[in-house]
Amino acid sequence: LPEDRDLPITVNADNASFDERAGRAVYTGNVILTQGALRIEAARLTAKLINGQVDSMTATGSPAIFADTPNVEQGPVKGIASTIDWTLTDQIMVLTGDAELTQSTNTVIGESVIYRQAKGTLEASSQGSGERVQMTLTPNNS
Amino acid sequence: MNPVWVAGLILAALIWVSWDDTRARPVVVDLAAAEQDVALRVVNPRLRQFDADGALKSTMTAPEALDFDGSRPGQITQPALTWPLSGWQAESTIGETYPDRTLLKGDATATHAAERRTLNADQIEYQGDVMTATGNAKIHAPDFTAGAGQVRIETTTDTIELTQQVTTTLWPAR
Repeated sequence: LPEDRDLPITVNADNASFDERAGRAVYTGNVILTQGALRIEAARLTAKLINGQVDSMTATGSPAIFADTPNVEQGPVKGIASTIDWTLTDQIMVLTGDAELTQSTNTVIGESVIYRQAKGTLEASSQGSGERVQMTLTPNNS
Repeated sequence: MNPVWVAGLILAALIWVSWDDTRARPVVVDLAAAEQDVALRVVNPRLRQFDADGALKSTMTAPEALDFDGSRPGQITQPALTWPLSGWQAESTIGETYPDRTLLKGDATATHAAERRTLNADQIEYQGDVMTATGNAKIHAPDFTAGAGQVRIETTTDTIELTQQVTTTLWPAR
């Protein structure tokens, strides 16, 4: 939810290492991140800290999974990909590698899918991989 | 004086001396059980260690320190240690000293004032430049807080390794 953006981020894992000087934290093994309604599950997560605050994160897994609720009206968004790059300041998530994103009954599949948290919008591209972007939209029958 | 009497007296004296060998063994009757094998007790000790270049590595103070002449590790009550080179300080209920490391046990706390970091655990071991906290280890720092079964800090490079059910809290950039 919009107000979740300022909440602290909780990350659980089997192991973690902090390199204070490099401003980097690396988590490995059963990594689960939560921030309000947002949840990411991955095998590995790297956080880049600037001035002690998390600026961006990269989650990788087979696949990495995320779920979020951008706002009550749009409902939950779920995504899977080999890599999820999350830029917190811009509130943008880029899913790459067999990326698939589902929002209520609509699904987007592509080599790369961009999810804009603030607006709750999705963009897909094949990134020249030759594979076509596949989008399944369910008409609203109301 | 009859020589037989003299010999008897000398023999009795020898028996008496060998019987009363308290001089050979220190009186232990009135020592508390924990102090039976104390070799040395120092009140208000202040121990300073220096590195090969003569720089002060660490300073330890305590109300009391007991040495057991190797039969078990030296024991320090309420040790307070400082490591000026790394900026860390630590204290606990009980400390144990070994030739190559120091073990702080019981509500062990380590703090780095300059970087506003605090480490709490059941036990903290300091060996070389590495501090390892085990048992309910919790670290509070300006950029994160964490709990884990073990927290290992390399004090010269500022790298922190957490293992065994790690839970951390980070703050998002705004």
